[in-house]
Amino acid sequence: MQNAKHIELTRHHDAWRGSFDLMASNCEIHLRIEDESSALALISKCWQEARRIQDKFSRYRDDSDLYHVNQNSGQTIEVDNEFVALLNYADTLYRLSERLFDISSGGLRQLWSFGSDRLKGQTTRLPDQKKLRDALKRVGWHKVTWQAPKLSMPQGMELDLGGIGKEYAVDRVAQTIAAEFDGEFLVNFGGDCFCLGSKRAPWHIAVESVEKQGETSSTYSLVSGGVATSGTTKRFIEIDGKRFGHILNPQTGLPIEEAPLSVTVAADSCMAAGGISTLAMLQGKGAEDFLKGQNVDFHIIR
Amino acid sequence: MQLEVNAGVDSSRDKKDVNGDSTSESPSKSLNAAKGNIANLLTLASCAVLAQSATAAGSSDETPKWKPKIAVMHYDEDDRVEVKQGMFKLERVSEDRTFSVKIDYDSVSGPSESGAVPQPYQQSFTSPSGRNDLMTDAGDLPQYVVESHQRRAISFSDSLTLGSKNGVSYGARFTKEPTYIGRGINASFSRYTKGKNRQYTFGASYENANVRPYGGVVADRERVALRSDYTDEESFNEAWSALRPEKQIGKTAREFVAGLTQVINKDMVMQFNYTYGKVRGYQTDAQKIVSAVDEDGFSQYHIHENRPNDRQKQSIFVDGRLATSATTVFDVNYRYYWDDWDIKSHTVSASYQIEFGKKFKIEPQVRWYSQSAASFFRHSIFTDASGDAEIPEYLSADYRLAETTNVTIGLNMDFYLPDNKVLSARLAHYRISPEEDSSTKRGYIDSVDTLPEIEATIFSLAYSFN
Repeated sequence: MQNAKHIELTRHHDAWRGSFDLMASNCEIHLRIEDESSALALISKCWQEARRIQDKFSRYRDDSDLYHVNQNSGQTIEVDNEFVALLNYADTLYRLSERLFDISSGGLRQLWSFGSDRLKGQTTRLPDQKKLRDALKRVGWHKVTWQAPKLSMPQGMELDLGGIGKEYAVDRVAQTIAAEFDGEFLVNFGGDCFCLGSKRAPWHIAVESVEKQGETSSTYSLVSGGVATSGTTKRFIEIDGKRFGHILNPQTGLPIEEAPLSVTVAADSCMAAGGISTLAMLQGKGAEDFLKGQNVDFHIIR
Repeated sequence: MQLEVNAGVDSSRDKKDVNGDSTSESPSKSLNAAKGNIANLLTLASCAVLAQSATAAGSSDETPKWKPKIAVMHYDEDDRVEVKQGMFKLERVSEDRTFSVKIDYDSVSGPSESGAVPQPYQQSFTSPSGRNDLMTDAGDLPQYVVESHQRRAISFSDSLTLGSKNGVSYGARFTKEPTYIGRGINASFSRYTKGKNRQYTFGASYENANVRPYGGVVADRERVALRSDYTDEESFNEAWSALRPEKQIGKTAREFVAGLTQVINKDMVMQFNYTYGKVRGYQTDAQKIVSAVDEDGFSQYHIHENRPNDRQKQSIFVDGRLATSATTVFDVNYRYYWDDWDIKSHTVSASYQIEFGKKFKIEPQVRWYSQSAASFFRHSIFTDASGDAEIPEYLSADYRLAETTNVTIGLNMDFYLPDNKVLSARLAHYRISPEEDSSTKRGYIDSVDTLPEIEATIFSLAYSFN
């Protein structure tokens, strides 16, 4: 139980709920189990796994694998199997999105100061055109030579797995639970979820209100599968009263126009849900049309 | 989801189509029109990621752990040989390497048939050590007894992945028992084709052994010395020793395997193997003898058996594994074996694995084995009126070289305990039903069963630590 200090365990209806903070999110694990010590032991394992993924794919920790990759731009380096799998997945998203989902576009974000509520309502200016052009030169997954497990990216390029990392962690944590626990559970990392329930007792998941942070605008119920939300409800800036979301078009460096405030999608895994919701977001005003063609349950807030 | 995993890997290599003409029309329009159901593609792609990292992440601890495994096995033939076996294994698994060290111990005791024929009166034979005699009752099959034959073996194995496509493994084994010292090495190379749907494996092994039969290496095709034929102990001992001038003799075995594993679809995997083996050196069993019988089937004397010094073996093996549901796997395989001793065999084996939750797995299993006799197998040799017999160059009455049909019915059970510990139990029943060769029996021995059915029970328990 060495990690128990990070975890707050409470009894919540018919389940034990462990919450902790990782990946800049409030993370919750609900287990429909009676025994408190088993719950804590399993949730501690979940914490370990989430922490491992956070540390491995952090852009900021200088001992992370991703940091090592970014420090070695301009050279060919080899990555491990787990990294290979994630890069292949990112590559799939890049191709399916017609280059709009791009893990090399992290550098663009530095030009925009998307804050959380601290900056909400604050007037900011559009980025400087020259800086934008310079930044765009270091963006573009097609400039990367990717021959798994060998990766070679142009000097100065930086990868950011923020768009898939948290969903990946949710699915991995769900696997960790399923490997040891036969019962029903819910993993919820800041709105990105995976659950296993039953028709008798589906899980109820709250969607945060756009207008009032911390308040619930709606809830939906889910028996099993993954749910993810892409959205601008938490991170956006306003320029001359116009709201710009944090989802950028990597080809122009500008926020996607007419993007919904948030897109919530249910799919078989949290990763797939996250991928579909992000792709929908990238469609801008075409988000609804895109989702209707996908045969998935979704919820869009405009 | 394995196929989709690989589709993802492959497609990363032909990114050119993306880099080429990118359309300027509305992305959502082109996406919907050209790509069909993206949700399905992403679900598959995410399964690929999660399937792959399940192993990667599980083994990415900075310091790979040594995992111990212990097992005990008990084999018991009704009224015959009993084998007790123990195994201890330490395995260290890291992302691209598996290293293991294994120690085996077993102890064999109990009576075995010598090959001599039953007689309507009591017979007496010398024990393997030559020091005392064993009596065989009228009508019984002559047997010799091994009190406690202990075998110890130590081996190691090291498997490495080289890049994403190739793997090598190598190992060595040292075996020591009172009658045998073996030193073996093995190596194999495997290569995945693009997409990892097919794997080729090539392997080779070599063993060099010293065979040291109880009592010594006996002169083949010579008459067996019996105490009753000598007037005193000294002359018997002299004759007995004269038949065994050497204490030990050499033997080598080589084997080559070529294999192919093919993923047929996400539920089915097929495997094909071809094995070629060559054994050179002493393959005779120094304790086995063949009776020389007269017209009435009464044994006049016995001859030490002799087997060829060379044996060339080949086999082909086909295995199919089919996942019939999320929790069940059906496995069926067939082996055809043939060698230049004229033994041909067919083996068909099938099992069905059923998993109950994440707690328990059972696997009923049946195996059917049928072999033809070795060309030199015989129950006895026939003497002529003068008491002499023509002794063929090779001869043996060992039931293991006779035509036989063996059936095994078993049940394997795995219990998954907390912290990845596994307790496995196996219970099996084995029946050996050899066929007699009436052309090498006559007189009295025609009326007795010289190759009775043998029933055996096998029980084993294994425990894998985390």
